Amino acid sequence: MRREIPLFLTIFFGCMMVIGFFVPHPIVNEARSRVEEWTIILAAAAVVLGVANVARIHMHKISRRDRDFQYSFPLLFALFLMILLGIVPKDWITSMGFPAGGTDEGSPFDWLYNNAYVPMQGTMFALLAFYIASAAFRAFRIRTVEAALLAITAVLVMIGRVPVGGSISNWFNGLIHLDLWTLPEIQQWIMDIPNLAAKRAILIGAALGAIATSLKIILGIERSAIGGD
Amino acid sequence: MPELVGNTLAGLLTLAIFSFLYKDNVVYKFAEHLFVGLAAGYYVAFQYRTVFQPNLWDRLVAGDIVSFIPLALAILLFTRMLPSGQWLSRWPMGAMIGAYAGLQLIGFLQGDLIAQVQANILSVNTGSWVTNVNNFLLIVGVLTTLVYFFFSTEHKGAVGALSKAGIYFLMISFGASYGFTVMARMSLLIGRLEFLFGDWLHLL
Repeated sequence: MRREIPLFLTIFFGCMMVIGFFVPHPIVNEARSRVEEWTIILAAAAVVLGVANVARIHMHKISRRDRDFQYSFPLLFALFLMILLGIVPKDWITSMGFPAGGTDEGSPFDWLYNNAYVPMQGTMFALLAFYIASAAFRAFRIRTVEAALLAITAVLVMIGRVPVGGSISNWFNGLIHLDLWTLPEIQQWIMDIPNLAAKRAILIGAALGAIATSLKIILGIERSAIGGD
Repeated sequence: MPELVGNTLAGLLTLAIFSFLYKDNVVYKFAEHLFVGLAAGYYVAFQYRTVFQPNLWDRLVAGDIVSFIPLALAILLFTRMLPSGQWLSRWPMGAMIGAYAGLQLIGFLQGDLIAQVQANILSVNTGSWVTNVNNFLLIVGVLTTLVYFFFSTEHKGAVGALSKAGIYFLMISFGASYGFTVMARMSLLIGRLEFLFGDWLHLL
């Protein structure tokens, strides 16, 4: 029961997806789309489980008066407020004078999303601009050909993607009276040719790996995720 | 009025996050936890409105008995939080892993493997020497990078030379990715500064 049923479900759900792709029969397609919907529901339930776990951890933190437990209050407040605004019936919200309810545009949920979540997310990522630059300054040491290639490419891509890159190239081309490739053109060539070649190889390798792992899971060889060896 | 309040809230929260540049402080920690709460709440509400309501709740209300199967599996997933009976959560886990393995098998095969190999079968006799050189570099780049990732043979001699060329292509790609990421972060930073000084404080 503990191992056989999860294994059976793994094989059944996996095979349904594969068979549904190759067999164009309406009954098979219907069954496949049903299984796909169930998987989407389970994935959504897994998200809720993860969030429930976050809430539980922070509630424990508050009850035990752990270090920095005070910060768990805004976290739980924001969490429950967002859930409440998002799931209560839409007409309850509109009856309070708001233009929309639920997760619709103009609802309080949407207002919080646009004025709190999005700005903080953008700023979090923007912070990385400082740290990524300072980390590179400390970590990059051009001692080998490989390191030189990495650093030169990074600099060319960075300069080539801003207007000043084009201005420098135009100024230089005017100085030597030649029509050489501009920095934006070099940057585009790097992205389109050597970068694409390596990315393509990585994608091919990753696809082969994912296919092999998926086959092992569907055939019941790889069982570690469902409590097997 | 709601726009002014919204911009002020967004501006204050932006400054709170930026305060981390000085050091890890109370204001930053407050904003960070608020962000985690908002993000987690957002995803739960979003899943409820886009998945649970149309695919589960509405169907159960309409009398679709089969929908009790995903409901039962979803409930079993929460046994993971119980002190005993956690093994029951392996049932929905097994179903999810199996389904995603099946989807990935088809998706990677069709979308990545075949598509990428097909896209790299290029002519080196197109009539334009620039295109010929570029196509040749693409073919060589993909093959040498694949040789680098092929560990069944020792990287010595010809294989070693090809693998070395593959490393060079990889390094160029990593450098390009790094530069691209830095510039993406920079544009986000400019966006936030534009918001602070333009939309919020009206100084621009």
